[in-house]
Amino acid sequence: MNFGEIRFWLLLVAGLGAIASLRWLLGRRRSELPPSFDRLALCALGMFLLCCVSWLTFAIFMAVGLGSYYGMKWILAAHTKGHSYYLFILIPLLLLPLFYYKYSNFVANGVLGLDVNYFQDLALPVGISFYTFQKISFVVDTLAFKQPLPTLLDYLNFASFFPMIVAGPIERRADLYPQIKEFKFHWNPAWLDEGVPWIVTGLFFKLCLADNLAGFVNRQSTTNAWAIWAANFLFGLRIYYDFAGYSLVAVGLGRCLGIRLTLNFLSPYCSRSIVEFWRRWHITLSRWFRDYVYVPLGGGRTRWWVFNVMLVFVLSGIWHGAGWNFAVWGTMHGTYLVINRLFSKKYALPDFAAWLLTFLAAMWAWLGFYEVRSDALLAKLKASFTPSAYSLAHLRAVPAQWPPSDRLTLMFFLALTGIVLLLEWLSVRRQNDPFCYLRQPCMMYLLALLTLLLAPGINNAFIYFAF
Amino acid sequence: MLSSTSPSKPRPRRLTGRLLAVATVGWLSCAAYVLCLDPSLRFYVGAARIKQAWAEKMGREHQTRFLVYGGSSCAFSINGERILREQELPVVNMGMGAGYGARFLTRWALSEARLGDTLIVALEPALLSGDLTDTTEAVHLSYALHQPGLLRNLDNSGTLSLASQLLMLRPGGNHLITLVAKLAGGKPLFRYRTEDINPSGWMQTAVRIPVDSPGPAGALSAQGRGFLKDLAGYCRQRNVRVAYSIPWEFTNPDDQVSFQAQNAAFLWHVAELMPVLKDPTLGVCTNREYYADTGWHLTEAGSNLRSDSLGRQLKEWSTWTVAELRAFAAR
Repeated sequence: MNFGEIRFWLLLVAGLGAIASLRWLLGRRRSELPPSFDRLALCALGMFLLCCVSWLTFAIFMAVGLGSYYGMKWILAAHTKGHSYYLFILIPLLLLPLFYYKYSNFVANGVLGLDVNYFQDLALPVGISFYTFQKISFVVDTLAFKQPLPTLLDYLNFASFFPMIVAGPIERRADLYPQIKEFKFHWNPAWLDEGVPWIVTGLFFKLCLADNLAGFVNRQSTTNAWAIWAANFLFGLRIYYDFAGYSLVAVGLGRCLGIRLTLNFLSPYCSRSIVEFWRRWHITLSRWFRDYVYVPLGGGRTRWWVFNVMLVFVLSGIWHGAGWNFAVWGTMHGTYLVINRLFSKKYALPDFAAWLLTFLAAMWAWLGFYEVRSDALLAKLKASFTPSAYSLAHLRAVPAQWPPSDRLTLMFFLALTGIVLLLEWLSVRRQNDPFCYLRQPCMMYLLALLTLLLAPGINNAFIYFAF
Repeated sequence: MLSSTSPSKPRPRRLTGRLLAVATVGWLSCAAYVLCLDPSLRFYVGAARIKQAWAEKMGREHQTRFLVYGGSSCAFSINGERILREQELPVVNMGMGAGYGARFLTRWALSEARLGDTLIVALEPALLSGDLTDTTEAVHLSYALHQPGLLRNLDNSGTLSLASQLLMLRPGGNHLITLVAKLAGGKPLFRYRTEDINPSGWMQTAVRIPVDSPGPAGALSAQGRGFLKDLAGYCRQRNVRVAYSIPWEFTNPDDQVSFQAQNAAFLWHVAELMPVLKDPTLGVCTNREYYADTGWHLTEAGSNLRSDSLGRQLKEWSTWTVAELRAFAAR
């Protein structure tokens, strides 16, 4: 389910065409379609697209889905009180496939040093981290807050709504379930006109900006601090436009079908503090950790709030990938947040300085995200704090990483990215309507043409598919 | 702060339809530019026609031919006319550009191969060290040559869907920006000209740029290994003799021994799949004067040496053994 590939769109059109044909055929025979027809068709479409990704992905999705549903059903039927306690059994069970496919190799070989080859070749089923967390949130919201159990069909639709299944947003029961329950397939041109600008903007982010920047991320140098910063900066821009692009397409597809999904990104690089950054970056995951880990631990109102913050961010780091570097990335952000909380009230920075500091801190932390080699990560962290690594000779060596024609292309894409960031900033600060300047009808034509002209032919998978 | 997808302002109706129309016209314009105007593609289409004409001529005049193919290192180094004159061997230089990738280049060379011919794989090791997916350039050239079959695998399965291929008929950012810069600077739109290509497909350039060493061969990738294995089987079935010949790359004299050892390690894995011609240089050349504008593009003097050496190897059909290459690699 790669929105950047034509295959996905062809499969989607084929699936929707089949549903429309079936509707028409059934409509001719009966005066009214069965009430659950559209929800059944939506579920079938989601499953079909998931099967097209791989059978393993489909099988594991179904195992976690059916396990969570029947687990909830059993708990609700057999026990009238104390549903919350059963969460301590059900949640670890739901996490088992995620642990097996994503973390077993890291724990067995990286942490325990057992040198077990078996786990090394396990392929991570696409989207497992996202849908596992979404299902856990549904289970918690249902059992802990005593919500009624939906029908299996509605639950599967909640979990398998195809725009969000492989890379989020991680929706909550209160936001998505009421919409899914009432879902109907409608040919509504207004919905289409509302959804398409999100899709065009998302594809522009992914295919034009992220995919072009991807070719310039050079992670080789471990001693040249300028080169390390350049790699961090380019990776930071690339991952943002990659993931935000995916999320915007998901939002657009949802809107075309009359479903409003949560925006996962709100121009995070316009943030003026690290707290604001995390309110704008991967919003649904941040909320998940806030509501299901941070708040239950006591949040920021306890004496051990520093521990709570650090734990949440280390877990968030490890959610992204099984490796020490992800823990380092989480620790860096946790530390930022603690510093932010300790000093922000005492020392207020001017807006521009606050933005710059936040931007640089976020960019520096990407080092922990992309550098999977522990020795290289340590060397790069060390070089970042070594004054001699910032020499003029090192600075001059940075552009020499790329051939002259590539430098020109890089400059062009950095300028284009700068304009897009500026438009994002204006959208948020002036209109409080995310990406509104980019979604103007006249901009749509420009973005579509720029994507056609500038997107490289090579298709890069979305980075977050790996999570 | 807005985080949910709250209602937006009303939009003009029929936006989607207009957008689709603009995108379609945009894509058609891109495809027309790529297929009719792209200067690099024009050059390679011209090169392909010259090489096909020489292959046909050699086919008419000789019972069997030697088809040597690879990226631009091959195009610049193998002088078919010289080998024909000096060694009386009908050699066709099918070398194009490394950007076309190993799969496309192989299919392109095989499209000219006939029963009894000899196919000399002179692909740059880097083309066999990573992912072998067809490149955008390969899609462009196959459509420009009206030969979309060049994008198929050796077993005739497709590598890219038709829709993906059609969507790849676009220039891309790097190409477009470089082109605009060249136009603005009044520079030639492509470095090489069709007039630089000799009738046998051998290419030369008057451009001289100080060259650097491209670096030794990497390890043969799993995809590269599978591909060479399939190619050997394919040629065996069709009675086409096949062998690998490592291209000559510029190497600093200090690195000569270590680069030769690394190239030998690469070749030893190739030799497990198909014969490797016994080139004593092991693909290393330390004379900077033999290179024109990159560490792969030989000058006339350099290509004379390489052509003579290859001609002798073809005549004698001398090949390395795995044990010999292992011994070199261990040095």
